[in-house]
Amino acid sequence: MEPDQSLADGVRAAFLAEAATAARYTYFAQVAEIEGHTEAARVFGELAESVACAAHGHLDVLRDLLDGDDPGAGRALGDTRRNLGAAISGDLGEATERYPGLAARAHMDGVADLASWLETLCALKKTHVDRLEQALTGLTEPRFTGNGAP
Amino acid sequence: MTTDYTAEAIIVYSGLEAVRRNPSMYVGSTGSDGAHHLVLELVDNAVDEAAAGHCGAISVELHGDGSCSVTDDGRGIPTDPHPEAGIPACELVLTTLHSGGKFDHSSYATSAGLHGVGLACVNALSEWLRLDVWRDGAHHSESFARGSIETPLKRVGDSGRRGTRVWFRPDPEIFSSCVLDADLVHARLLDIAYLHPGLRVELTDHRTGRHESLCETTGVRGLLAYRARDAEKVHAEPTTITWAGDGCVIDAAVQWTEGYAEQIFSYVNTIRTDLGGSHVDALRAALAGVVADHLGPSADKMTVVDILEGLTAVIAIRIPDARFDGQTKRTLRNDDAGARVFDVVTEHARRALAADPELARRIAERAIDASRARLAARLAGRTARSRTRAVEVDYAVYQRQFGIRSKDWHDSCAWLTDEDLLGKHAELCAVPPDARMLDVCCGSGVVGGAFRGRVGEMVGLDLTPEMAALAATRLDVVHQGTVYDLPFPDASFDLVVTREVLHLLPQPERPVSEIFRVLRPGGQFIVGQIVPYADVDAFWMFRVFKKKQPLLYQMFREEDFRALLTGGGFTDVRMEEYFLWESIDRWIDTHETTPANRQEIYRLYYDAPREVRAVHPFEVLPDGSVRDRWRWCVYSVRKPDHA
Repeated sequence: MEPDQSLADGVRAAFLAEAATAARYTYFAQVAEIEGHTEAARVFGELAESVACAAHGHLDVLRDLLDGDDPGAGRALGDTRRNLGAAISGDLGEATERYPGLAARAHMDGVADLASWLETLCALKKTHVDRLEQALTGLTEPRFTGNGAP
Repeated sequence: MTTDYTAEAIIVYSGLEAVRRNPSMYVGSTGSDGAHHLVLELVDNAVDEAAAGHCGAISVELHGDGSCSVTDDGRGIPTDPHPEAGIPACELVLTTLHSGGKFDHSSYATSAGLHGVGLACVNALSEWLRLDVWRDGAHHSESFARGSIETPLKRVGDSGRRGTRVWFRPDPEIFSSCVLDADLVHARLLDIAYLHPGLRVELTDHRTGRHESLCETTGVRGLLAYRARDAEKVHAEPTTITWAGDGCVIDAAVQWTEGYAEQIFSYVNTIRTDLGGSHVDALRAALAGVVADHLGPSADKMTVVDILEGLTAVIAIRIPDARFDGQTKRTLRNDDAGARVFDVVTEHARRALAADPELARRIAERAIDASRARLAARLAGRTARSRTRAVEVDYAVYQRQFGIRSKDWHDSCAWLTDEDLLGKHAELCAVPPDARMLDVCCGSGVVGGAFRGRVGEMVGLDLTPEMAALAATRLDVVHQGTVYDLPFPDASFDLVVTREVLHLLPQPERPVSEIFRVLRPGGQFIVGQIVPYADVDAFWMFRVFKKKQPLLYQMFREEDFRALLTGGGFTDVRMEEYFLWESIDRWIDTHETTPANRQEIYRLYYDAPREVRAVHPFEVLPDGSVRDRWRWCVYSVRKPDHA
């Protein structure tokens, strides 16, 4: 890790890398399968499972040991109410800043198909914000705490 | 090589309670598939008798009460008491999991059935089952209900006949659908008839009076000819590969067709392995390797999928110790069998190419064509893109793409000629009977043609000379030209029509403004477009459509398309929706979709996110084919009178 990085920042960076790796490996597994490299496909598929599990482990650590933020949105991790909040803020950023910005840039560069792709994602993320907000509104107080005690 | 098949040859392992508790684990599902699995399981047991050389005829009857009987003329399941269990061996086989003659290879060298799970499984999952055995001069019978004995084994009488009949009814308590489909059973019997030359296989459906009697002599070669009966062949005769040794048999037939899809029908011990496995991987790798060696350095830029594009093949292997993923046997796992197939196919294929230079030349040319088409499809996207920065479109790319496609244009998907969809466009027509109409990017001219009788003059325009020639048969006059710069003066038409075109064009607002220009004030523009159902399936459709057609530039949502039209100055928007089921298999069977993209498109459907499935209806059929219910929006807009 970078020398001036905090431990939590380092773990957050590691989480992002593992999450990306899991997505890459499932994609690579599909490519290998289509190319007929069954063994390579199996390796990628199995590694992806482990890596996804490791990524969740980083989230455990951030939540339980380091009391850190959600690496996805710079918001606190925790129970479902806080997670919904973090998710909304993340998707809102993507729907209103990241994808519109990227789409505008793609239009400027004359890459029409990429711009259209990014615009479909703006639309998707907006529906996600709505769904998450509904979930948050509909959230009732849990009747039991996480350890099963009433 | 087999020892006596007597009660002693039956080996006992354990009980069968678990089957009714967890039926899917044994027969794959508790739907209609599972009920059919019971039939096929019995058929496979009879096939094992045939493969061991003891049975010459198998008969399947579907009865009016929903029951099914499978009869063979084999040795008959032993009825004498089993030495360890002390009950009749046939009863043991029907009431005990993991009992059967197939664990010890001395009774069956290679077997199709589910290794003894079979008969007991069928019994456990049947409302009732009756067993008849003709053997050693006697006829015995025994009956069961849901796996338990109803009437113990009894001697019915003397008989000179030989064989076994299992008559059962799938249990409606287990299966959500117990109706047995004669076509499904027939498809499996057809495989069996080809894979066991000389074996007589009969199907009688007492519900409909259908009776089929199959007896084939041509083996995998005949099966391939049957499977590829509609395809245009690259070489007239299939290449066949036959090899036997070490207790294994390999039979294969391969033929390249002009189709785009790769189809391999694979069998292990006559069971269809529809998800392939090591034998299929080996066949593909061996064929691709031999053809690549033959091509030499020109194969450098080729992929396995290029070389195997259009390949149709049947491979049937028999091996002892077949190991599969899961009980329903859809993927073979034996690496040793894979290695053997690889060696055998490599050697045979190399020899076949060396012996027949014409065959070698045709296969090589087919591969080169495929790789060129793939590179062209990929370049199409890139070339058109690099020019868009300069607001200039490389028309040659479109001409090449649609010129090649003009050959089989109307076969390429259902929507092109769907009468109701064309009618939806024509119904919106509201112009005087002497109106002058322009069908822009007219393709084969079917859209414009649908307005016959509603307008006075029908003019077409298309970029591709081949398409313009096609359209000339439907329209009065067809010009060759581009929609970015229509070769007509202002206000020269009363009506402009087009369909499913604007998404292929970068900067679609430019063609829209050209259409606006050539319309007279008050003129009508009718345009149809496939659009997503909602915001949550647009990104997924973008991926599907972009993989199908690299020239795709837009995935318009309904409101995007509407905004495109109103942004171009059009008013009076009317929109009609129309839903049309399209065969995705047919839609993507085209040169513009690379083989790898075709596979990726299937996976996008198979693994579609739940959010997409919730709004966008499509169907994946049991054979893996896909139907998508596309949402068509057909718009009518007007150029304002005062414009």
